[in-house]
Amino acid sequence: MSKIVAFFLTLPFFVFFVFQPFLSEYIHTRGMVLENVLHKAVKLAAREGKMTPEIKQYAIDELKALHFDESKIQISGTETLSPRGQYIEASVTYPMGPYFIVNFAGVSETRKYYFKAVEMSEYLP
Amino acid sequence: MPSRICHGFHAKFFMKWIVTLTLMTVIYVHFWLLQMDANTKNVIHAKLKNSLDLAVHDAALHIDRNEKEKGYIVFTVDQARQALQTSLQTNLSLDNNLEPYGNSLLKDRVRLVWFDAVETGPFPQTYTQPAYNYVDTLYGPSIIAIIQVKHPKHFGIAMDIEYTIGASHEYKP
Repeated sequence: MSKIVAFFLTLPFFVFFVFQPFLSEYIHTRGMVLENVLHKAVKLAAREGKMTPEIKQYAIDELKALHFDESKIQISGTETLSPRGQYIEASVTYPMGPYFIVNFAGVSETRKYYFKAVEMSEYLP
Repeated sequence: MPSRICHGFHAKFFMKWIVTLTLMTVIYVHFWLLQMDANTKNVIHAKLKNSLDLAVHDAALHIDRNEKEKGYIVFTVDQARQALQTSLQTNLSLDNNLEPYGNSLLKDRVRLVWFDAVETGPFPQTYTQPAYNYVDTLYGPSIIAIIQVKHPKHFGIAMDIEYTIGASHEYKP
C-alpha cells in the first residue's frame, strides 16, 4: 500500500521531469518560427510599400503548414502605402498555450508570443 | 511494539523516495536551466541577426542622388550609419547609446564594431574582415556592419559568451 501511495505522490514530479524538456523545446521552436516568418513578411512588405493582404496570407499559410492554428494567428502591419525611406511595421501575436506539462498552480495560461519588426520601405511610386 | 516497527518501516520507505526525488530535482533543474539557456541563446542570435539584416537594409537605401544621376552608387555614409543605428534601436529595444531598455532580452550595450560601405567593384567580390572572422560575397555596392553584445545570462549557470554578428546589404534601385 505504501508503495502505491509513494508512487502516486511522486508521479506528477516524474511526469514533469520526463516531459517538460520536450514542451519547453516545442514552445521555444514555435517562437523561433514566428520570429522568422515575421522577418520574411516584413521584407516582402518593404518591397511592396505596405503590408498587403497577400503578404499576410502568405505568412498565415506558412504558419498553417507548420501546424499553427489559423484562427489564432494575428498579423498586423502598416497598411497605408509608404514611400521609400518611410518605416513599415509588422507584428505577429499567437497564444503560447500551457507553459508547464503539469499545472501545479491550477491557473490557466494567458501568455502570448509577440514579435515586432520595423523596416524602411523600398517602394518607389 | 509491532506498531513501532511498522512506523519505522514507513519512515525509511518514504525517506528513500524523498531522497531520490530531491536528487532527481537537483539534476533535473540543472539540465532544464541548461536547456532554457541554450534556447535563449538561439532566440537572441536569431533576433540579433534578423535585426542587423533589417538595419543594413535601411542603411543601404541612403545614397547620393546626384552621384546616382552620373551613374555611380555612392552611399551617404553618415545618414546610412544613422539609419542603421535607428533600426537597431527600434528592433532590439535600445536607447540612443544602444543600451537595452528594461523590456529588451539583452542586458549589455550593443557595440557597432564595424561599419563599411563598399562602392567600387569588380562585383561579385569576396569581402573579408579577419578581425571578426567575417566573410561575405558582395554582388553590388553594399553596406557591411558587425555588432557585438554579451550574452545576458538570465540563468546563473550560463557561461560568459559574446555574440559577434555580421550582415551586409546591397543597394537596390
